[in-house]
Amino acid sequence: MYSPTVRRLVAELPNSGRLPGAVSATVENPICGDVLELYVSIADGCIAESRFQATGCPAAIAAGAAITILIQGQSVEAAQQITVEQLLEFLEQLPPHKRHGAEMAVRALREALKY
Amino acid sequence: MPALPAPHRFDDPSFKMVRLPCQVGGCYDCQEMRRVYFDNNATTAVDPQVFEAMKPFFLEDFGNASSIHAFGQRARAVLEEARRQVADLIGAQPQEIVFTSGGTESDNTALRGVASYLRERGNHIITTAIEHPAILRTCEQLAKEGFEVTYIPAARNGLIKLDALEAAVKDQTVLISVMYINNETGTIQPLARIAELAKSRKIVFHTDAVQAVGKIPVDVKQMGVDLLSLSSHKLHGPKGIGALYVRRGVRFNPLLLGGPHERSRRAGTENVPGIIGLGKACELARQGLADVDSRVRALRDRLENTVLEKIPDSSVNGSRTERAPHVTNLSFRGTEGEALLISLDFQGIAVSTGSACSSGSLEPSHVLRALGIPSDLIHGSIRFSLSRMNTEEDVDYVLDVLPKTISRMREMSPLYRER
Repeated sequence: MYSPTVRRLVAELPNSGRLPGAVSATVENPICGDVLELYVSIADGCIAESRFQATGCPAAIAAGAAITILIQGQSVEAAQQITVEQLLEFLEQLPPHKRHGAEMAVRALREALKY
Repeated sequence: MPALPAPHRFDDPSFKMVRLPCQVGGCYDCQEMRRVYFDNNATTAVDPQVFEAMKPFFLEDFGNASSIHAFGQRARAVLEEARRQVADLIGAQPQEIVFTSGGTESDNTALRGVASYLRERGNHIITTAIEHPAILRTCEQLAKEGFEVTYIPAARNGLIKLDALEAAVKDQTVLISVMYINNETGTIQPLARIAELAKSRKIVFHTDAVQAVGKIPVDVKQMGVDLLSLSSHKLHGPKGIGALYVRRGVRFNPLLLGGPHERSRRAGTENVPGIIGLGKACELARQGLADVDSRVRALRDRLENTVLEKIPDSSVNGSRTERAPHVTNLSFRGTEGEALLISLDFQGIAVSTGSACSSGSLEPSHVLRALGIPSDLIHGSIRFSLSRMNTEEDVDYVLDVLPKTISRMREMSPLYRER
C-alpha cells in the first residue's frame, strides 16, 4: 500500500532531527494524532538546510522527509510554491486515506516560511 | 526533482543470508542481510516435506476424487488418508472433517450454516468483540438478515468476560462462537467452560481455532465444541485449503451448493493437492507440538523478556499466562507501528502491527481497542509471531536490531519523552 519511495524514506529517515536556530513550524492532524515539525534554515534567500521530526504514520514521516529533500537549495519563493500534488508525485502517491501526510508537510512548510 | 534510489526487491525465497542485488550502490542493502520471519500468525512457510507430498498430485496423480477410474480412486484414497491426518491432530473422527477453502470459509459455513438451519428455533447468536473479521463481518450480515447478535467484551488481559457471556444467553440463543487463540495477542480463551454452558442450554458451540491448531494441543472432544475452524497455511501447509470439524449429529445448511462432495456438506471438486498438503502439515504439526511448547516458547520468552528489559516504555498487550507459546504483542510508546514495521522490514525482519492501516482505514486494531489499551500504545504495537522454523539466531538478530530502530524512531519524535 505504500510506494517504494515512501518505504525507503521511512526506513532511512533522511534529514530527521532538530535544527537549532532555524525557523520552524509544527502541524498536527487531530484525527489520527500525527505531529510533524519542520525546521528550515535560510541563507541569502535560499533554503540552506532543512530537517524534520514526526510522530505518526509512514505517510507523515515520508512526507516530512520528502519535503526537506525537495526544498533543499531552492529559493524561498520557489519553496513556497510547492504543492501537495508535487509532493505526492515525488512520493509516488500515498494511499487516499493517508493523503493528509502530504497536506501536513506542505502546511508546515508554508507556516515555517512565513517567518 | 531529485530521485531517490529505487528500493531493492527482497525476492529471495530462502529466508537465509542473501546478497541483495544492488541497483545504486553505497546503501546498506548492499550488505549481506539476515532475514527473520516473525509474522507466522499472518501465514507460515510451507514445510518442504509438505511441498514434496503435494507435488505428485499436480502432474501425475491429478484425478478427480469423485471419478471411478484409477486416477480418481488414487486421489480418493490419499484424500481420505489426509482426512484421517487432520482428524488425528484434533481428536476427531475422519467423517467429522469437512474440507473447505480455508479459515474464512469454515467460519462462514459454521455461522451461516447453523444459524439458517436453526432459524425456526431462535435468532440469537453470541460471539465476542475480539473475533477475526471472518466472524465479525458474517455476524454483521446475519444481523441484517434478522438475527440478533451479542458481542461479549474482553478484559484488559484479553480474556472474554464469562459472566457477560452467561448473562447474554437466552431462550432464542442458537449459536455461540468464540475464538480459541486470538490472532493479535495470542490469548487463549477458556473454551471448556463455555462449552459446558452451551451444552447445558442446547446451544451449538463453534470455535475459530485457526491460530490454535498446530500450535497447542487441540482435542475437540475434551474441549466440547460442536464445530471448529482450521486453516492449512497457518500450520506450514499451503494456502487455499482448510477444514471445518463438525461433531457427529450437528446439522447445518451448506454454504456452497452443487455436487455431493464432502457428503453433501460442501460442494465443489476437492482440492486434492491442497488437501494432501493440509494432511501432511497436520501430521508434522502433531509431531512438532512439543517443540512449539518448549523450544519456540523459550524463544518467544527470551525475545519478550529481553525487549522489556532493554527497551524503556515497552509493554505486553494481553495476558502473559493464558497465552499461546509463539506470540507476543508488544507496544513501544512514542513509536508508530507501521513506520516501525517498514523500518524493520528494511533490515530483514517481518512482523505485523495493530496500528491503523492494512484495512485502508485510520482505525487501529479492533482487538486492542476492545481490550481498553490506550490509543498511543495501540499505534505503537507490534506483533511477533514465531513458528517451529525460527531459531535462536533469529531472536538474537531481532534483539540486536529492534532497540536501535526504536531509539531512532523515538529520537525523531517531537513528542516522545522517556517516562
